[in-house]
Amino acid sequence: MTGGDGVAEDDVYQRLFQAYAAFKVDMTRETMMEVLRLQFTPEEAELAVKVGFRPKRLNAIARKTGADRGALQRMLTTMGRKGTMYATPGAQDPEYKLMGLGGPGLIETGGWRQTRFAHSVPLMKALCRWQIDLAQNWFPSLGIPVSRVWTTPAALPADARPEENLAQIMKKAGSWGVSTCSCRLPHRVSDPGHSCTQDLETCLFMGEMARWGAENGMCRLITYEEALEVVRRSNASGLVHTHDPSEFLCNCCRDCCIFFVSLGLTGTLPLDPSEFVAAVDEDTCSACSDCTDRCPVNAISIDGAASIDAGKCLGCGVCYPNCPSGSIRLVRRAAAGEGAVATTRVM
Amino acid sequence: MADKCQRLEADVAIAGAGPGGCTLARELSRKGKKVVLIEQGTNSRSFFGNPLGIISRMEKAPHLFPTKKTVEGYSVILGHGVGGGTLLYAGSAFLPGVDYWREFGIEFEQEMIDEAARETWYHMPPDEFIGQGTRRIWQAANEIGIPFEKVARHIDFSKCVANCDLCVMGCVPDAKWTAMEYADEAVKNGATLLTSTRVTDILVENGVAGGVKARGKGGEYIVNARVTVCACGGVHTAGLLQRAGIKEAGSWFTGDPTTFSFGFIREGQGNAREHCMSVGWHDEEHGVVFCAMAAPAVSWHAQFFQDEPLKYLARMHRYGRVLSVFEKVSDEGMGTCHPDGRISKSFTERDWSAFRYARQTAEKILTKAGCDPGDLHHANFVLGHPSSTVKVGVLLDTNLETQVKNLYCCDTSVFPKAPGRPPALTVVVLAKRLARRLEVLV
Repeated sequence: MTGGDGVAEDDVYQRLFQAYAAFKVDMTRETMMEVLRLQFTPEEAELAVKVGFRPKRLNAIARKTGADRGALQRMLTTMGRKGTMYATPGAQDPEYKLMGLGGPGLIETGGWRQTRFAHSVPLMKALCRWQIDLAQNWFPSLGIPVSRVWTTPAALPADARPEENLAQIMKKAGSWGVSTCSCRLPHRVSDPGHSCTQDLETCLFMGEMARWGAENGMCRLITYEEALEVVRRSNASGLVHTHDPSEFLCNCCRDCCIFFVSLGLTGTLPLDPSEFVAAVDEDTCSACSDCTDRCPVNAISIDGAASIDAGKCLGCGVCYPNCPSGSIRLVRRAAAGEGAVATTRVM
Repeated sequence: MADKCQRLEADVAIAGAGPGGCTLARELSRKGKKVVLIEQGTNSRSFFGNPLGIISRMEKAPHLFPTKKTVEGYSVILGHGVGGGTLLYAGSAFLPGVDYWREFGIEFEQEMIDEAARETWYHMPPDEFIGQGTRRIWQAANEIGIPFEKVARHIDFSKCVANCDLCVMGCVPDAKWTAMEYADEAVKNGATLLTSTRVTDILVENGVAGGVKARGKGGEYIVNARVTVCACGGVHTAGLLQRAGIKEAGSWFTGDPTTFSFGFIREGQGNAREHCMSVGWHDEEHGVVFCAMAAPAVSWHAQFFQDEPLKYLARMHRYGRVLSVFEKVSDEGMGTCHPDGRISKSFTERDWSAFRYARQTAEKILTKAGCDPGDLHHANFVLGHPSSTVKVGVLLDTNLETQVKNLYCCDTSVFPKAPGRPPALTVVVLAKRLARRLEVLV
């Protein structure tokens, strides 16, 4: 294994970066290397390259590396705690694989395990720089959205199907967990004067991911009702539900979320809108402009009454709970118009 | 790893041995071109005719049984193995919509369509293959003014067994055409078929494609080819092209949601164990296809139990009296194949109104045919034709070439909008058309 020799050390991180290059992250090489150096010791990096992204059991890894099983087990467990190695939760002989890039991946695991390690503060700063770099360079280069927006359950119209209701999808998962938002924490730590005042604990884990998170100190387990309460509270404070309610539900703010940072920096939001779109009852609308302030994508304008640009509207339901006159409801998108066709939306 | 890597040279490298890839391989190998055809599944006819036949040939999500799902939980049906989607289809044959394609600048020659139809065993079902229950549906539909008629099938009726409904589980007497026929012929003509091997990347240099990188049972492969064709279906083609630098591949995902409506008759025979899909109607105005078809016993029991367990238990013994209509709706392209392999799919108001129309019409037919109107059921839908992720006219020119030179697509992903009708024959014709262009080029 490589020791303190600088050249050899660099070499192992380069090889680790090459393993991640399958995700086409070349444009963020510098900022990503910073995170890799903090998250992996050279020995761990060496092991990570050998384990790779395909699940392997301890025996197979021991055969491949020739290392002692006990030492290997300890190392893999430490890596699991750091969030750089994924192991099947609850298994006697778990399958290990190198943590991917996102959902779950290196982008988030640093923030989820909060500030438990000696290098946490530099790591948060490095994560923040990397996330901004990804938002600025990587998302626009993808061309298609990386995830989707979910309508908040309270705002769903009566004809919504169970598949469109994130609460119902979450319910099927069986176990639930909550953790610190992996976008907000790095931003807060690296910039104490940051304007975001949203709750930190909004990152929801479901099913196998929740069990994995609890085993590795990434999240704490909660009940389904508590998870729904997080969803409700997030919506009330203006956060947008995104990603995949069967595994992770992100509750995204405008300031820190990697998706919305991308919107701010490049004008592209790498998110598919939901099935629904906000609609205003013009007769009852008091034009108070509360919704225009809350809308994360500025899709609402006031002209006598609020009017909604359906091409921009994400259908997140953030505008729904606070409307004093109850004039906003969500309706199904009429048709896949040009703006709503699932491409990255430029605003 | 580098020493294990095998290098192959070819004129054409084809990723995916579905109807598109196999047709192309067969046509080009006939002309003496060197073809390498790469498929992630296996080439076997094992388990044909029993439920394992369908399960083993469906692509599974990791640890999930039995199908890949979108993040919303809609099942997406992806064929896995040489033959691709044709392993799982029921064999209904619809001629390519000539007007549909003309709108997007693609002209089909009638001769080519005829040739494809002949080679894929395009036949109208003879009268003796239309069972009593199916006749009942046919008659009822016609009585309420719905012009059901015989639907062609990719079936050689001289080999087919009249009261067999196992098309989708794999045809035991080999009466259903699958793309395996073309794959076998291609191999006979000298094409190389790599099974259990997955194309991981397309080699692109300076905007020109030069082959593929693959990995599988036999280790790693690098196939250098003058022309590369992606034919691995709506979902995987999108992923490969994304990695090859074609942005927006994977947008506009459509799935052709497919469902069954069924009811029970008091006396007489249902259409459950009869030859399926032999009569039907394509309602072009609403974009809905109706066919008389019942789900095979296993999937009917499994799905009905999942949807309505109590009602199922009271009715499970009545499978023989089921009258069932199959509906397929062409949806709008609100969906995405995300770069991390997740798929999301949304349905618009227009989709749902087409869906409601389809169900209401099916209910009318079933009621007329003698089912108890209070006891009609609708199965949950599945996305049967994942397509339109690499649209002609946006990411492909009319020759099916991408913006990367020498990189072509040839599968359902090229459809400019949801196919709406069974697309197998259309894909075969598209492949024949592409083969004609490629044989001059390489």
